[in-house]
Parts: sequence; structure tokens; C-alpha cells
Amino acid sequence: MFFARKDRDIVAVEIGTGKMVAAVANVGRDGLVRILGVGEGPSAGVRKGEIIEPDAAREALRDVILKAEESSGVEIMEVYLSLSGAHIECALQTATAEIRGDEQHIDEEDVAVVCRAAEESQLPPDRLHVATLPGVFRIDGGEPVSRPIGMLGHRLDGEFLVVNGVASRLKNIISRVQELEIRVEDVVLTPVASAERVLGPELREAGALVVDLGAGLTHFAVVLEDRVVHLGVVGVGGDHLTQDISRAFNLPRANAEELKTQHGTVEPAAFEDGETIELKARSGFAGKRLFAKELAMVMRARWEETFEILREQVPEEMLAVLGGGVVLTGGGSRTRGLGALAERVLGLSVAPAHTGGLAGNIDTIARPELSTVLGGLIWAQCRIEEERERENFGRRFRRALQQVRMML
Amino acid sequence: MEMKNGRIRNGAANGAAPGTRVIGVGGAGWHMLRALAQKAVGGISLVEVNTDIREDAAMDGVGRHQIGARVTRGLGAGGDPEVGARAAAESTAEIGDAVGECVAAVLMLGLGGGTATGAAPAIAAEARRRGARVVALCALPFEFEGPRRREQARRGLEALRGECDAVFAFENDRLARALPEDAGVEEAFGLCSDMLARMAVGLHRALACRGIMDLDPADLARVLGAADCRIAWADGSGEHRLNDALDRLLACPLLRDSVGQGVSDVVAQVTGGPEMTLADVQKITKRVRREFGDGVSVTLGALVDAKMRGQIDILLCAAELGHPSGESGHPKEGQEGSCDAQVAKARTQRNGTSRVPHVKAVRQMAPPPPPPPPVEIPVPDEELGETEGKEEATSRDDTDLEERGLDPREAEAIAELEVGSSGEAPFEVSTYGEESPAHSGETALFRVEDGEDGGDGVRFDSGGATDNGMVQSAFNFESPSRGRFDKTEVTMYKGEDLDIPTFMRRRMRITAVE
Repeated sequence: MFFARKDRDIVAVEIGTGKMVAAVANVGRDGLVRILGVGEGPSAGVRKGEIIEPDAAREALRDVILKAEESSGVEIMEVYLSLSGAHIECALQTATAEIRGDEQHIDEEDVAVVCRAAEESQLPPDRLHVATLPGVFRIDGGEPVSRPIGMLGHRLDGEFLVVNGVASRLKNIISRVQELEIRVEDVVLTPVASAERVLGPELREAGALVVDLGAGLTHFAVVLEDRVVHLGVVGVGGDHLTQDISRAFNLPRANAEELKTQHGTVEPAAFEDGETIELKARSGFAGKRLFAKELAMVMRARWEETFEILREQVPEEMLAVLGGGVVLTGGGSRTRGLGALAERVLGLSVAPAHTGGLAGNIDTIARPELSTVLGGLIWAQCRIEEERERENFGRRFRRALQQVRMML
Repeated sequence: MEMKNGRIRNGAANGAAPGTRVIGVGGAGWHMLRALAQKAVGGISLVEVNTDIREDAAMDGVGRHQIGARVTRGLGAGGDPEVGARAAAESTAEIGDAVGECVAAVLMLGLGGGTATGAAPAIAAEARRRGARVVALCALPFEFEGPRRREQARRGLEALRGECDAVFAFENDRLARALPEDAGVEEAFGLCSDMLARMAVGLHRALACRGIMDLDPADLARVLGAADCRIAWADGSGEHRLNDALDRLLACPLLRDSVGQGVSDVVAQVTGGPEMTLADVQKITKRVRREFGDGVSVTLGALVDAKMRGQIDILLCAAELGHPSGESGHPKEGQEGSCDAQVAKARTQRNGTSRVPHVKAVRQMAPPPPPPPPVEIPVPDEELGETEGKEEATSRDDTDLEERGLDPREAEAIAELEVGSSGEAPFEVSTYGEESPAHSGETALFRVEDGEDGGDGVRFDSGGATDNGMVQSAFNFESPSRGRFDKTEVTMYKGEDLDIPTFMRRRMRITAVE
């Protein structure tokens, strides 16, 4: 490293359906991300990951930002924001560029040309190109490389995962942050952030499917050879479970939520026939007794269907090569018996989530509900690191070239 | 096909009694039937009644009945209504067969000629005698067809009005004026036929299908029968289907150029896929009020049709009911007419947002039996389209609803599920092909009325008692409200609405603990 790095504070924000979170971290000179504080609160005005009541959403976010500032002692000026929505779609795009110049050294501009060409796929007018994820390159048809800059070649082929979404809906999320006079430094897709958090280096290399079972949406990302090759969103989440339970047993939403979190399971066989669960009467609620088996069946039906949909969203050939299996995260992953159900439906073994890579209170860094926001921090740190390397590499490269020319 | 005693029949009209029988009378009626036959709507049977039944004019699925074989010798009525009337008188048995047993009979015809003008009143009378609700949709002659035909049409209309529950007379010239100048005659007739065919579908849905919210046929008849009734139809599909359909509907030139003359009553029939929400329906009401004035009485019927997934269509009838229907035998120039939104697309752009003066609603319907206290259905306010202004706050609190995660309708349906009184899950989506068992006046009425505070009060009234004296539940929703997901886009996957609980879609039964 030519230049010593400075430490830096970064903030990741998630505007979720069930909750909103802002996590503040310090990236030290050693590159380690240390959690300084987390602000967390119930969400408002958000359904299925999308803003339906902007004012309510902004105020809920304001509370969370204040909490994060308070707990971290850092004034929040800019954030990395995770973006989501059932409308998000992706496609693997390939593009090619001829290397210009006599030296035929591949430089940043060449990579940018390939990248831009890949992004140029036709989108409907309401859709917006959201992100192009780090891709893989081949130089003159050779072996895949992830960092071609500085190598020699005539032709550069690139393959990227290009993601698009409905512009107005994404803007709706970003605007809520901007309304609080906070700058959005960059956006990260929720499934990418979650995968960043829960996959360790081994699983990233071996290939794994990450499923983030959120309150509003279920996100998934397929990581193969250390890069995201597929991602998607299923418009079903924990909210649906609560609604299902509420309707099945004619319960107010709050009680259905309680039932889900305290007695929720997807294993009907774990209960005897006739075994009941009792919700005690309290102010405003008359109490309820229901068959435990039926609660499990209602929940199982929903999660089973969700996993079935998910399975259909991931190409067979991808599922077949995922040596690392599937990692479940998000609040929904706490449901008892879900791992076995996922294994059965997806045909993949369930691997535990990686909890390393961050320094901080273990109760915070290991919570599946925080995977997205913590993943956002890791993702941000990687981007900062890449940026730094690019700058340094550029200088080093230019200097080396000058030296070569002087020798001639 | 069989031929017997001058009657030529195709099988379709002889099956089980359908909800609606559409009877095309005479040559123009045949054209309208053909337009309708192309739409292939379930629950409607099509029958042609004519004096000259030509083999080459047969259509699949359309029953054919020849009348006046003796009096006309199968050669048609020669443009003479007298002959048409004699043909009907001669062929009462054929007419009886043509009408059959149906909940609603819709007569489609062009007035001014011989067969339809002369025979239609007798056909209407027969249908009415057999207990059907009878609505006639008739086209009045173009100017160029000459004064004789127009006079014949006027007399025919008078006679028809005496025999039908409602007659909608549509002046072809109105449509012609809205068409591009270079439009061909065929196109003009074609559009007219197409529009009346769509209306027939709308009427079928309103009169013979059980929907989420059923129109009271009396309301429909009142508006439809008004001398200045204006009709527009539009559809939409895709993400913005509702706004698109509403824009097209209200941009319709024939509807618009009559705005300002005063509209007191609007009856609309909306049909959409299972994803259609109560909020959608309310949005239509709001938009209609915005266009026609706050004082207008809006009555809506809503129907869910599984085949209409991702689509919506709206049929709207508007009238000023200041004067009784049928008063003016012949429609007044510049007053009567209707249009098809296709015309709007072809010709005009929406012209600003002018509003009609505030018109007090005049409700002339005979009062129903005393209804039970109306039940307030909380409907979430939905943001209207961007082209529209901000709605005044109606301060409807839906947090309670949300807290509970379900609304009273669902609660009742769930209770039914728990008790297990019904063999089927109560959230099955009804298709509009179903025949209405709720036809004998037990229709649930959805009416949006002016609240004391000027806000929109959405109420369910029981339309009245059934024959056995039981009052129909006002919460007879076939399609569940989406509760917490009301304001969100429906999560569809392979034709299934994922917002509806999986256990319901998989028809799992939940038993109540004793």
C-alpha cells in the first residue's frame, strides 16, 4: 500500500417493512469494520419493501437515525442505503471491447467501456438500471479474471449481473433519506448486502444460495466463485405469515404476530393431535385457544410455497453447483423447522450464517434480522477499499509507465 | 343444426337456462349479435330472431328463430313495421322458444326498419311475461337513412318503451359526429354494433351475475331509461389499468360534451380480475364525482372475473333524472347519445378538467323495504392518479382495521370457515359466468352517498328482503379484502394472488377449538 489509510466512519441504512435500522461503524486502518452503534425501530408506511406512506416512513426513519447517532456518538451525514422491492429484476449481460492504444494495456477506461456496453440492454421506460455487480472478464478468450486492469490483450470480454427496477419506487425509498438532509453515498441491493454478511470466504468460493426472509419480502442471491451471479425478490415475507395466522384463527394482528414469533414452527408433526396453544386474555383481547398442529400447517403452507417459488426462480444448473448449500437469514429464519423445510424443497443443505468479519457486540453482529444493514457496512467497506486500490494502482501504474519510457 | 317448422337452431340456445339471453332482432340486431359473439362471454346465450333467416348468416353458438315465415315468405319485412308486427303475431311459439327461460333478456336491434321495429315490442312483452328483466338496446337510424325510417323508429321506440324495463336508444348520428370524417359507413355501423355489444355484456354483468357488489336493476333501469342517458365504456390493462380506463372513459367526447348539461345519476358496472380491491372501486366513485360534480349519485356494481386478471373494464351510464324517463318519445337532438372510448382514442384528447355545476341528486327510486342500519365499511383512502388533485381528507381511520389485520367481512367469512358450515373455502373467487341466485330483489347495493360532512360515506345497504324474509348479509364478499396489503400491488405468481393466505388457496380447513 503506497498510502496509509485513514480510519473512517460509515453508516448503512435499511428501510424495511418490519423495521428500520441504521448501523454506524468505523473502518480502521487495519480494514476491520467496528460497529459503533445501531439505531433500530419499528417501520411505518412501508409494505412489501415499498413506501406507501412517505411521511410516516420518513418520521420512522428520523427516529432510527437519531437513535443511531445517540448510540454511536457519530453525526450521520451520509449513508449507504439498501434498496429492495418485488419489482427488482436482474440479467446476466455480456459485452466486448477492443483494447485501444499501442501498448494494449487494459486500463480502467476499457473496463468501463465493457461495463457500459453490458448495461445498454433495452429497458421499459419506467425501469431504471439500478446496479451492475462486479463481473468476470476474459482477455482474448482466456481464463476468467476478476481484475483485468494492467493486463495485456486485444479484446476484453466481460460478464456482469445487471439489475433494474421501477425507477419511481426506488426513488421513493431514496427520497426518504434525502428528506432528512442526509446524503445517499451509494445504494446496495438488499440481497447483495445480506449475502455479503452471511457468507464467509469458503462459501463464497464454493457457491451458495442466500435467502433473506424479511418482513415484507424474501430476497435471494446466488453467489458462485466469489461473485453474485443471480438475485431476486419474492413478494412474500413475514407480514404474509402474520396475515395468514390472523385470518386462519381470526386474531388481531398483534396477537397473530405474537403467535408467530413465540410458537411459530413449520413442523406440524412436532405436535400431538388435539394439542392446543392458548393466548391469554388481556385488555382488549378475549384470548384464544387453537390447535398447535394447525398453526404449524398454516405457516408451513406459506413457507413451503415461498421456497417452491424461490426454487423456480433459480436456474437448475446454478442450484446443481452450489457446493456451499443454502444460508437462511432475516427474521423469518428463526422459525423452528425452517432449515429442514428449505433443505427438502430446495434440495440444498443448510449452512450456518457466517458471523465473522465484523467487530462489535456479539448480540448485534449475529442477529439474522440485521444481516442486510450489517452486510451494507461490509459492502461499503469493500467499495471504499476498491476505490482506494484503484486510485493507488492508477498512480503506481502511471509511475511505472513513466519509468519504462525513461528507460527507452 | 336442425330445421323444424321454419325454425333453424344451433345447439347453444337450447341448453340449460343461462343468466342472460341476448336476442338480436332483425338485420341490425344480427350485426350486433355478431359483434357480441366475437367477445365470447360466458353466461350469455345468443339468439337471433328474424324474418329472413339466411343460411350464410349463421353464427356458431347463436340460436336462430325465424318469425313470420308465412306472412313474409321468408323474404323479410321489407322495411315495413306492420309486416314485422304481423310476423310476430303469427309466430308466438317461435318467440316463446327464442326468449326461453332467462334472468335477463337483452334485445338488440336497430329501429326504423320492418322486422325489429314491428316485432321487438312483442318479443319484449313475451320475455317480460316469462319473468325476465327486459332491456332493449336499440340504434336509431342515421340521418342519411331518411325521414321515413326516423319516424318509424320514433314510433317503434315508443312501443318498445311500453314493454321493456329499460330502453336505451342510441342515436347513430351522435357516434358519426365523433368519428373521423373519413370513416367509412361500415366502420360507423361496426362501431355502433361493437358498442352496443359491449353494453350488452355490461348489462348481463349487472343484471344476471352475482358480483362483489351487485347493481340494483332498478337503478340501472332508471338511468338507462332516461331520455338523455349517456353511456361510455372503457377498459384498461397492466399496472395502471384503473387510471387508464378512467381517463379513457371520461375522455369520451360524447360523454364530455354532455357534461355541464347536468347529470344527477351515474350507474357504473366495473369488472376486473381477482386483484380488484374495494379501494379501486372507491377510486372510480371519487373520479366520477370529480367529473360530474359532488352532488351526483353514484351507484356502482363490481364484478370479479377470474379471466380478467390484470384487466379492468368499466361501463358507465349517466343521466339527468330531473324528468321522467320515456317522457320524450324521440330523443332530443344533442341530448341523447353515448360513445365508445375507442372513439375518444380515435379523435379527441381529454379537454381539461372542467366540472359540471353542482347538481343535487334526485333519487326517484321506489323506496326499498326499510333496510337495517347501514354498516360503515372502512375503505382506505388511496392516492389518486397524478393527474388528479389531492382529495380532501376524508379522515377515515383504518388503523383499527389494520391492527386487527382483517376487516369485519373477513371476520365473518373466517367465522364461517371455523364453524365449517360451508363445504368450500369462502374466499373462492366468483366468476361472472355464474348465474345470480340473488336475483329476486336481494341484491346487495353499494352506494356512495354524500355524508353530512360532505365526505364520502361508503355504505352497504341491504337491497331488501328475500322471498323467505331473510335479509342477505351485507358482507357477502366473494373476494377477500387484502387487509394489510390493500395499498400494495398484488403479488401475483403464476396466476395466483400470493397475498391471499396459502392455506386458503390450498383449501386447508381450520377447526375451532371447542
